[in-house]
Amino acid sequence: MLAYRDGDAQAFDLLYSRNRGKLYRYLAHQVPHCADELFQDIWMRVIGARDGYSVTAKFSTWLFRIAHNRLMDHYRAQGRSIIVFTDAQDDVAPGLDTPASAAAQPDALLARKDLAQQILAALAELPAAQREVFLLAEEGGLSLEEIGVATGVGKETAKSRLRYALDRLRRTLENAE
Amino acid sequence: MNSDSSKDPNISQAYRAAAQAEPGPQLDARILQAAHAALVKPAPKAPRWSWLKMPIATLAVAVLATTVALQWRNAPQAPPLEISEASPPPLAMQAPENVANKSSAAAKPALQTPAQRAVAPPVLAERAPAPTAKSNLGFTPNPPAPAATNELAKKQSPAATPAQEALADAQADAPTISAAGAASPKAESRAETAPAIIQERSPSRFRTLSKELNTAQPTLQQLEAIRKLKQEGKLDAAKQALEALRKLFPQYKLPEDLRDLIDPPVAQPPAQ
Repeated sequence: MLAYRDGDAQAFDLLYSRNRGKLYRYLAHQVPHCADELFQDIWMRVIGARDGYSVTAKFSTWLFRIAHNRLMDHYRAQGRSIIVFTDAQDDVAPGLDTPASAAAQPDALLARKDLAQQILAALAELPAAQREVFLLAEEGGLSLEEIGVATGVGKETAKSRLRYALDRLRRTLENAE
Repeated sequence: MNSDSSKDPNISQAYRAAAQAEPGPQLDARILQAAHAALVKPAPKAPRWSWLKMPIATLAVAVLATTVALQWRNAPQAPPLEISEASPPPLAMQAPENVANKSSAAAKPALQTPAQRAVAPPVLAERAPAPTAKSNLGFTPNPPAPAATNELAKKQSPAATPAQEALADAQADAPTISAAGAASPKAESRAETAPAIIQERSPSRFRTLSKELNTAQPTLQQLEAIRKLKQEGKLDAAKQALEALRKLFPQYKLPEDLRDLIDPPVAQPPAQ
């Protein structure tokens, strides 16, 4: 990013190629209908922030923090309650605030034998905060601390969210087997 | 799981197998194009008056050139070159190597003050031809303009004494001169016609010296010195000095009372 800030267009190409898939999947598993729009918007913010960029964290941490903020803006614009991202929701029983659609209900997913699809369905069932933490860990390769930085929460909160997400996905896998 | 137990390998593997979504190529192209375009800063708009740049620049150059030309024309001439024996002038005299060079050398003005000429004869006869070119000296027997006369008198007066001394020296060196002239008549002819090539540093000084040379003539002191020699009966010495003077000022018309030193009157046969 520093090279791109200094005028190296090839540096941005490399940066984009490394992170395009990760960021796109991060968005596609949370807002599948608006992934393209948000994806482009996030990269435009990256480009716009080029002049003022300074190294404060890993680029991926910085990128997913932008993505997280953009996602929150999207949720606000959609009128969704952001209460799903509060820490109080982390310990509630899974599924109470699940934003998954009717087509992604566990019964429908379990009817399908494709494990990958079941995982994706289970991911879609996760609470948004847990799903985001899982995606940041899987797609972004962020550590718990970095996830906390990207999402604006503490490390322990991120760890708790991730633990809940993994438990639920694990159960999904066990049921599928 | 990584170091902070944030991953489950089985879940990660299953997820990787399922999650293959990628952005479309059109989306990629739009983003990359925007990124590259952000690096290319738009060229600054030319100000409205930019079309006036060329005419203003041309006008400025013309005004400057005119001003410099007028200054050059109206500038006071540089003070005349002060020449003394103690401090040799910064003029370099070079003799042309052959006759073929004479024409080209003649085009260049020969610069030498009368004082130099008075001092120079023995040296000139040995190492270089005469320092003046007939066409350039343009000696006129008529007296020069008052201003020129005054200017020349100013320069010649301090050099008058050295000129007299030079004539006395010329008397002593007369055999050398005549010997050199007799030994190499070719060099003597060269001395009469070939100009000296003068390298001058300042153009204004060059103009001043050219003007001086156009009105050059021997000083009265030089002529009086020769007359004195003649009156004292030193005819040979007077003749030598007069010849040296004629070499320096070949176009100068000698006074009648001194002509008989060089061209003695033909003895008339006694009337019968």
